[in-house]
Parts: sequence; C-alpha cells; structure tokens
Amino acid sequence: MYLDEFPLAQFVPPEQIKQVEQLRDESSWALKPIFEKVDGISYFQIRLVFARLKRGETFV
Amino acid sequence: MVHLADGVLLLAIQRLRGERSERSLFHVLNGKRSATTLQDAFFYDLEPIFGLFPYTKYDYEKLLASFEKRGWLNRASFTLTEAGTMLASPDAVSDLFDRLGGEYRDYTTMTWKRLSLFIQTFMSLKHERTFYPVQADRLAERWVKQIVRTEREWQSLIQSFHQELETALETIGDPYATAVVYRFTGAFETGYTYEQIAALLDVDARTARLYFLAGWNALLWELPQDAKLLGFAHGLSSERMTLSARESYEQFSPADRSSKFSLTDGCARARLKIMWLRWRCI
Repeated sequence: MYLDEFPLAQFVPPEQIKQVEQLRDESSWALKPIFEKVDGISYFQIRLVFARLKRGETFV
Repeated sequence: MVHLADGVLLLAIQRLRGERSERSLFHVLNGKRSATTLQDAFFYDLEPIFGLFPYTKYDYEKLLASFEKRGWLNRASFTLTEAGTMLASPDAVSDLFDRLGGEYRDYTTMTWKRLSLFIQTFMSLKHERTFYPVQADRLAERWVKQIVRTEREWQSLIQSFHQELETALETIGDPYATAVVYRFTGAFETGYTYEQIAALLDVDARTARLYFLAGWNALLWELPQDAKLLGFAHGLSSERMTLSARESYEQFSPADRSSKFSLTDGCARARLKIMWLRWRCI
C-alpha cells in the first residue's frame, strides 16, 4: 500500500537493486546467498528490495 | 492424534522453507512488531497467523520438541520431514490458515469484545439480571457503557444486528459459524469455552479456537459496508498499519503538503529511529 511512495533509491543504490533482482532465486526469499554475492550490501537493504519484488513490481 | 491446529503450525514452518530460524517464527506467532518480524511475516505469507499464537518460550520449545519427536520436524534445518509436509498439505489446513486474519487482529479482537459485551449487557438489562462481564477489557467496557446509556430505538437495531449476523454466518458456513455462535453470551446462557466448542465440532480446543478466530474474521469482511454491526468497529482502524505508524507516515506524506517534513524530520518529530520508521511504512 505504501510501497509506491517509499523512496527506495535513497537507501539502496540502483546498481545494487539490479543485482539483487538478478540474483534472487525465484523460489526463495533467502537473504544470505545474496548478501554473500553483492559487495557492500546489508541485509536490511536486501529486505527493502525484496519488499518491492514481493509486490511484483519491476523497479529501477 | 493429529489436529488441524498442528497442521497450521506445520504449514507456517513449511512456508519459511528453512530460510529462517525457529526464533523468527516464534516472533511471528507472538506478533512482535519489529522490522524483521514484520518482513518475515510479509515475505513468507505468514501474516494470517501474525500474533495469534502467543506462546511462552517454554511452550514454544515444548511444541517444537513434540513435532520433532513425532517425526514431523527436522530442527537442525528447521524444515519439515516428509510426514510433516504431508500433514501441512491438505487444503483444509491452508484454507484455515489463510482465513485467520492475524494482520487485522487488533481490529477484529476489539470488535468482538465490544459486540459480545454489548449483547450480554443488553440482554441482561432487558431481563433485569446481574452479570459478570464476559470481557475483562476496560476500553471495551467503557465503550459499551456509553453505547447502552444512549437513547435509541434499540429493538429495531437489535433486529438488524441479528439479521446481519445471520446472513454473514450463513455465508461463512460451518464449522466457522458454529464456533462463532457458541461464543456469544446472553442473559441466561454463557458462551461456550473452546473446549466445549471442540466437543461440539469433534476437534481439539486449539483447532476450535482457530475456527472461532477465522470465523469472526471472515464474518467481519462479509458484512456489507453499510452494515449496522460495523458500528462496533467505530473508531478502529482496519488498516494493517499501526496507529503510531500511521501518524508518523502522515507527517511526511506527500499528500499532506502542509507539513512538508522530510523522512528524517518526520522521524525526529515522532521520536522514532529512522530504521524503524522506514519499515513501518512499507
């Protein structure tokens, strides 16, 4: 409901968002595999991107 | 013996797919309002059970140990065994799970408290009987006292309540309807305990409780928007967001340009940590 207005780009750089989107295994919301593959990203940032993905929106 | 309530908990474990710890499910079941728990509930479709199983750590440990002992759960990976997966798979389990409405529990619980106490109060007044309130909740008590004291055409209103309840109960069907109906207390009859309802429905008490929760939740959403019964939800928010989160959100909402707060200002005003607020808004 509030995702549309959430300023995600303020918290996660666009290139990291893209990386998370590409790396995410379709059947899983596991954080660790992504945390290990994306340089300098925090679990919190992965969760932010996941929240957007969960709503089925692509987003750059 | 395997009960539907066990199936619901097993399904919750299954939905976590071994990607979260035992403790994370514990927090979801208890309804902890931390960012991580809210997200876990959101990502893994556990919102319907959010806060509906307020276990102590001891009871939760006992529950998991019993699941393991019965060969349903692999605790090292926090995943289900084949037997556990089978028990979590029937449609009856997922149907009940998805009807529970844990994400709206503040709204549904208070509405129930008000209505059940009102009916008890009204019927007892009508038959001039004293009674022990069926709800020990100060806010609900105060609300009902206020309502009962107002001058209204009660008879026709009560008939409308009855009609609306009956129609909604017919739609939600059994066993949910039975579990809801028998929880009501009148002037002469006391509402059934979950154990008594369980005996009626031939299930265990935990499943009876879930039938009631699912039934009441479904009933509220079945009511038409102009239903008189929704007066019992007056002043309650059916949003998933908490009231404090809503206030904070509004402080920097683009819709409210009079405030023009940035995210950081909004947090400072609400005395919230920024990390916290970010997630409460999602």
